[in-house]
Amino acid sequence: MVTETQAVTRSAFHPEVESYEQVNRDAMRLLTRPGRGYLALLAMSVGLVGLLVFAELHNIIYGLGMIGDNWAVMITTFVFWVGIGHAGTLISAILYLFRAPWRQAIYRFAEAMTVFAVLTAALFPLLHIGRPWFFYWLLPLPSQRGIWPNFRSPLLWDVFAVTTYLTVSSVFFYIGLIPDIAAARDTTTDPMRKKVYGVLSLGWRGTDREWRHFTRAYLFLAALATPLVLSVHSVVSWDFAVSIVPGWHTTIFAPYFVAGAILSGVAMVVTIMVPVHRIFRLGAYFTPVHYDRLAKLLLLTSLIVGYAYGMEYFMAYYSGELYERDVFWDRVTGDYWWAGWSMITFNAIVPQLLWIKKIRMNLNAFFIISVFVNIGMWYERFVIIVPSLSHSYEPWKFWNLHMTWVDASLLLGSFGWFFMWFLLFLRYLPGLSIAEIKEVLPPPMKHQGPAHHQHDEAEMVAETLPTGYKEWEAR
Amino acid sequence: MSKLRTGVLGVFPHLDTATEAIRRLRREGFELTVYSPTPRHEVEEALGTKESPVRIFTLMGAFAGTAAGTALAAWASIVWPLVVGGKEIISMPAFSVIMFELTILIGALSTVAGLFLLGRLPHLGPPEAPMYHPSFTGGNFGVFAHAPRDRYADVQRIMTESGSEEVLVDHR
Amino acid sequence: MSDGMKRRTFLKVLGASGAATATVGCSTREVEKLIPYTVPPEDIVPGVPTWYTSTCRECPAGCGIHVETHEGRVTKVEGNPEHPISHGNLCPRGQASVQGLYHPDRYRGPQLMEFGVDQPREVSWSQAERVVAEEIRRAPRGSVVFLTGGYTGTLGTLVDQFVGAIGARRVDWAPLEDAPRDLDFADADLLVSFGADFLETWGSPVDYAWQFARMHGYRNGRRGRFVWVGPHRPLTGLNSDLWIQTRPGTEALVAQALAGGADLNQVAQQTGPAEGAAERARALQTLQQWWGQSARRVAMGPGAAVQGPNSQALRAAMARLNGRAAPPPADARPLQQLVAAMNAGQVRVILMDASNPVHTVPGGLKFAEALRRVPVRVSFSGIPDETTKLATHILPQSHFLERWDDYVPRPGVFELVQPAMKPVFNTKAVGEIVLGIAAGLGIAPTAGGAPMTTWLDYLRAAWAGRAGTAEAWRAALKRGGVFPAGAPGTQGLGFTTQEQAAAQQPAGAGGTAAVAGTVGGAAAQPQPAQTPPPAAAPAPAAGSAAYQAPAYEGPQDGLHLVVYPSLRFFDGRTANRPWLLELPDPIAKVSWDSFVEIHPATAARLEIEQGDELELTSGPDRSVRARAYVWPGVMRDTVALQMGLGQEGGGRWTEGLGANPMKLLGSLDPATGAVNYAGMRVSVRKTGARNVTRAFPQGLVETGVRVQHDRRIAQAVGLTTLARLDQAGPGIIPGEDQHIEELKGAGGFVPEKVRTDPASSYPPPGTEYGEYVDGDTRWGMVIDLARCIGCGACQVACSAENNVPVVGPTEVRKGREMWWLRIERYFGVSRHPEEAMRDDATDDVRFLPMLCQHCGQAPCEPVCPVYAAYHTPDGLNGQVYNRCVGTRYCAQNCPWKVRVFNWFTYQFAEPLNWQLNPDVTVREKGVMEKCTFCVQRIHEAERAAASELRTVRDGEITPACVQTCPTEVFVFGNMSDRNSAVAQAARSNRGYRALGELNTHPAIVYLKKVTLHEPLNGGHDAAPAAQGGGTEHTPQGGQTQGGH
Repeated sequence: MVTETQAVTRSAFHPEVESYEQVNRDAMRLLTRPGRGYLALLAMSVGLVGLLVFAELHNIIYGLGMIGDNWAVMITTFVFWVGIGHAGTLISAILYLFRAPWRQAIYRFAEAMTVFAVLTAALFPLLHIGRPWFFYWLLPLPSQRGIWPNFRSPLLWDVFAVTTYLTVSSVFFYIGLIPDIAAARDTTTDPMRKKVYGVLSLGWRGTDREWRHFTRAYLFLAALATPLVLSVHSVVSWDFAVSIVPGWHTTIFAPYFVAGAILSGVAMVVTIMVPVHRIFRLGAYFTPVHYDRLAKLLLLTSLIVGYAYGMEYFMAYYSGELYERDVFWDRVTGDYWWAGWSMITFNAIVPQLLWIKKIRMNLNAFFIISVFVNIGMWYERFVIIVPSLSHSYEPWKFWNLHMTWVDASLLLGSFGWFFMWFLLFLRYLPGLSIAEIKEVLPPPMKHQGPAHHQHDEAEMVAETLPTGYKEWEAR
Repeated sequence: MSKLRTGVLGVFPHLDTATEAIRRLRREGFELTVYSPTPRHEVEEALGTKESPVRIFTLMGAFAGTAAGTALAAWASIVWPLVVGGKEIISMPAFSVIMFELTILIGALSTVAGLFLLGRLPHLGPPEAPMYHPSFTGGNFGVFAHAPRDRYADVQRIMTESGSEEVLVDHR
Repeated sequence: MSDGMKRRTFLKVLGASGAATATVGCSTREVEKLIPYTVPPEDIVPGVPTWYTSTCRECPAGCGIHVETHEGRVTKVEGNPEHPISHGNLCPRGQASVQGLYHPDRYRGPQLMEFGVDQPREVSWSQAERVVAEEIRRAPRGSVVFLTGGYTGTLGTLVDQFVGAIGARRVDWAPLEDAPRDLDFADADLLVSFGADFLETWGSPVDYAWQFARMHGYRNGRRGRFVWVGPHRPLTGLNSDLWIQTRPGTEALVAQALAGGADLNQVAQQTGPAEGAAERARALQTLQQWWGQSARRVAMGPGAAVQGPNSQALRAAMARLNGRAAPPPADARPLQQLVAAMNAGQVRVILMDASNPVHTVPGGLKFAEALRRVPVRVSFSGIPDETTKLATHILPQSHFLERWDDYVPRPGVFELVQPAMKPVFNTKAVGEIVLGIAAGLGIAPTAGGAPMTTWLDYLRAAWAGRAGTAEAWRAALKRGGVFPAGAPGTQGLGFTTQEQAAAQQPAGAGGTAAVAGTVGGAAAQPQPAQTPPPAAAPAPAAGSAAYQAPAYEGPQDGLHLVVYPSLRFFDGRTANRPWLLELPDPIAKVSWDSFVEIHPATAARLEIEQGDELELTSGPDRSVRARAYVWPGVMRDTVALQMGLGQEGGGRWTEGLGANPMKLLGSLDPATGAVNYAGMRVSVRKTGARNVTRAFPQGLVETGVRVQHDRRIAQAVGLTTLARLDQAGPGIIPGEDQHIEELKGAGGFVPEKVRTDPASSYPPPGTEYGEYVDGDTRWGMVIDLARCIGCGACQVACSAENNVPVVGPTEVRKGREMWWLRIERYFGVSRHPEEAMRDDATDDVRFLPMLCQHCGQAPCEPVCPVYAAYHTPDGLNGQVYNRCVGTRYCAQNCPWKVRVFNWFTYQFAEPLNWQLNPDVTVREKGVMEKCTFCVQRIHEAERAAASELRTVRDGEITPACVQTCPTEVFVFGNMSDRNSAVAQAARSNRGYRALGELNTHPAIVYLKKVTLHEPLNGGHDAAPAAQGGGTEHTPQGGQTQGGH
């Protein structure tokens, strides 16, 4: 209830957000009656999930034979989705530790993306095995037969890494949500939702005691999630790196994969953020600073990935190893040259456009680039997996991938699965972090007090947008 | 907890007024429960909150996780010793991954446990401060002073003086 | 049977096994009553196989076999070790015979086609025999014809009696059974084969392969030479050291040149197209040189691939080379006359027991059309084929594994065929059928003077001379027949020096001629020369031995056509066996399809690419379609096509598969009446159908690759280099003795074996560094590439033993064959596929059996999340099917790619599933599998040893591949026992491990192939360049220069 008598101070970040209440209003706006477009999208996603289920039933009933050879599309897609997840944790956890003030507005979307991406990725290890109904043999379940899984197998590392990642990121996600669900509970008028939110918010009331422990717990969760996010894709990369297959057996893989993961993740964040921004008119929250920072992150990781590509080829050449050389030569000249080149182009070359500020600041351009990177990153995994396997030691068994409708269904289905969850999330849980955005807003003051942090923010905006915020929005 | 179940709730639209009230009420020796839509240092300073002990849970959990990881991998390999690929039965390099993952997992879970225990979540049973106002998750701050009935008057005075827009009294 | 095996059937089978058991116990009573399982018949112990001695009848060779039966079901066929022909080994066809026995398309019983009804009527045997007898009685005298295959045994006598009694004619149709089966060349220095594919079909393949390995394989410093003369290189040709290219019909020139000096350059000019004449001349020089150098030398043949114009001249010249005449070829003129008679309506009843004549008779003779003119067409074929399609009466005969019979493959060797189980279906032996019909006619054929009513009595009576007494008969049954102990047939061709050759001009080769007499059937009686000469080609005077400019039939501007019998299908009689269909052709590595061999240059000229569908046309209504297989193993102006496929009505698998080249062939060789397999020209046309190898592969798919991409999978070493190394001393076991030492020096990981207290549960003895120490056992194998001829017998044997499913063409095209063992065929060690197209590429072809290497530090094991792959204490690479969840990581991580995945639950069409080996699990979908070194056999031997309180003897365990290999390529045994045969063999200068540089300690040691000259692109570590000398006079060297 800001009375006109006082001078209203505004965040340099979110100049259009006048008050705490407005954050609640805008956040709740996302949760109210969906448009026809939303329902169409949701229906499409569910349809794709149906396709996935159909294809998988086919696999279970007739055997895996209908998929392309060996480890191809499914493992590629698995790695792709695990990678996607990483940006979310990066933004929500690592940037939290760094206290980056541009994190608050976007981290909820990013984190939701993480959870659902990992949820999607977790499907594929199950779907791709020959006898999915025995997947639980991979878990260390005590049985009277005293049979245990093999802890030396990278696949078992995967089981642990992915489940841990899924658990921790979900927990982190939910803990962060508690105060906002409480806010939703207090704001919503729908009695049904009120009840549900009441349960989900665990009766959060925002007392000093709650906040005191909450902030610390959140900090430590972030501190744990940070090494985790770095480890998960390393472990996934070790699926390949600890093998003996030429093109896989490389020490560079862990950092290379992590960088790639963040690259693809950030790209996916942008790919999701721009439409949400446009549809829900969130210009007040997703500001140029956010896009600018994301663009720079994308640029950095794309440079790292580009370096990794180069280094791989250099080592292949420099080691003088016949098999290694053949594989890498085959990647760019062999049966899969198209994949090899789209990977290099989309991941290492296209993002370089972001050096140019005009492009960085142009949502459409940025969106398109991010989509390219997504495609490129899928191809990166494809290129790592398929040519290496089809061109390994034994020439007699060089093979060609035969992609079938089942592969396609599983790939598309995974997107359906992911977006289904994401759309449901948008509809039922606060997509904006109500409590945390308030942290970067100037608190309501009766008597104007000094708020130093606003100066830094002002500078940040200034150096991002010489033209100023309004002009940017106007474009 | 020995806090009184009775008291007075003041609703503050502004942070500075709220902190003002907090300081004065504490000087008067009241125990307080403060509601805020977002964690503010000003409030913590005013209340003089101490470091949360959640970190103990985190640390212990992490250690437990490491131990569990080691034990699981090693023990399972010993009770069913199969040689694969000329690796040792206890292949530490491989097991370290398991150890790490369990460290994180159990560390995180026990942190949450810590939060729930210390922060009294989920909120079962009667809340420590009986009075609440939905706007506390919106824009307003709230200060609940745990006070015996005979001191309600003082509390109400302090609150209104320091700028509370609305003072609610617990009439139970 | 299609509706699943009923209990009753099972009991029947069981009863039969009782019978069979009785026979091995060697009474000859047929036990007919059913035996309930609760009272198991004597020596039928459930789970313990019973073995029977018999004879393989898949081809004329007649290998002695042992038949393994489980609970009355035949499960596997193996060579009979004491047999002079099989030497305990067997070829792919023999191994696959069980699938002929259990073929789901076999006739269930006798069938009659009534006039106007297109559905055949199932009848009882007595009915069928009565009806046929009735037809014969009604037929005017002399209008009954018995068309027989190559009978050499008692059946021949019976049929002759029968035919004589009813005043019918017997006509033989056994064109490919004319080759001598008693040659002895095991100690030859030089072998010159004129188109005789003796490793595949010619003569006695298993015996000859065995001899070839002894003669050609490397042993203490020496190694015989083998020269191939012919228009293309089949498997036998690829195993030669030198290829004398000859356009069909000109081989005689080469033989003549060898016999008495001729101008080699001129010969080279005449024997082929202008391009490459120089190389041919050089090759001829080499041949002449070698012929001169060699003391013991043999000219073999002629085989089908050179059976064209001038074959008489060739035979004459070869007779001079060998000092004795080769047997005359099978004479097909009687058949020609029969066709004429049929067309003239002089034949009323024809009884057919030849191998599918409608399929195998040259199209030019128009047999089928003539056959349609015969009112009563009786076929004894047990399985549907083109002939039965035209037959009016089908009296299906029993498979040789379920009938009594005998066979005389060569003089002095008399073999018995005894039933190992009761007939799967309601079928009879041809002997029984004939006796049945005879009975219907009131004739009682006599043997030993007494009239006989049952086939078995007749047989025994016929054997009275050899095995009269019960004991003798029993002994003969146990042994598989009556024959001299050991040693390949010594009746055969010895060796001659040129002087001797000059001395004894064509003197009929005793035994050989005799064999030919029996084999050739009608050919034994010299035919009058006045057979009407075929319209085409002005033929030289019959029997003339003079060389004349060859004249060819067919379009004169066309390419020469060579039609040759197939290693897998022979003349098509074994084409319907799934294993053989899936087994890649040993040279082309193409399965489930026919292929037209065509030279790269020619292909380029005609703009033909690998896999393009071609239409070969030899006459107005004679053309076939098959996919092009482009490779340099065939002459520029020649195409070659394999027999066997292209069957119509050949059952579910062969139906409409491939092309039948016999359709293309024209008239017979006027001189000898032999089928002209190489006397035809065809025009080649592209149909436009191309290969699709991507998303959904179609067309012809060659499995594997032709070049090694510089990998050192299959290595070779030059003879000179090897001799030098051997002088330096015996080799060491690669990878174990020296390799590890090097590693220690380099500080690489080395498995140290540490003994600990076995009492303590952890660590298990010796596992500190990942190897079990208790191991006084480490199963290992040595594979000698110098002996491997690439026939693929091991592949089929492996499938038969381990219940490996057949996946069918579609999956094969996706590279999903389930073979646990495969034969890789590489043209040298070159890098680029183009190099395999050079003319000299076929001079150094390496066959390499690739199976699980059972690594000491296997990459496949640690990556399995569920321990489905693990290491056993005796050094095996265990694979636990039941535990496998199918992550397929092990397969990705196997450098040799020898692990195969069950993409589906593959079916074994009833009753093929009767063949499944009960000792081996049948795998379901989603499970990884691979070679286990036949662990069931290892354990069997270990149990046997344990029960006798002893340890396993060296050589006691033979995995299926080791057991069957005709050239004895494999040695299996305990590597860690330094005195075992396998360790001895491994300690060789030729030893290496495939991809050994990966340091996974494979249990398999390969012995390098030995080439006469230093391998072209280097056997790699074989020789310093200095040793690569002699190229100026070597064909390889010469053609290299020519090739560029």
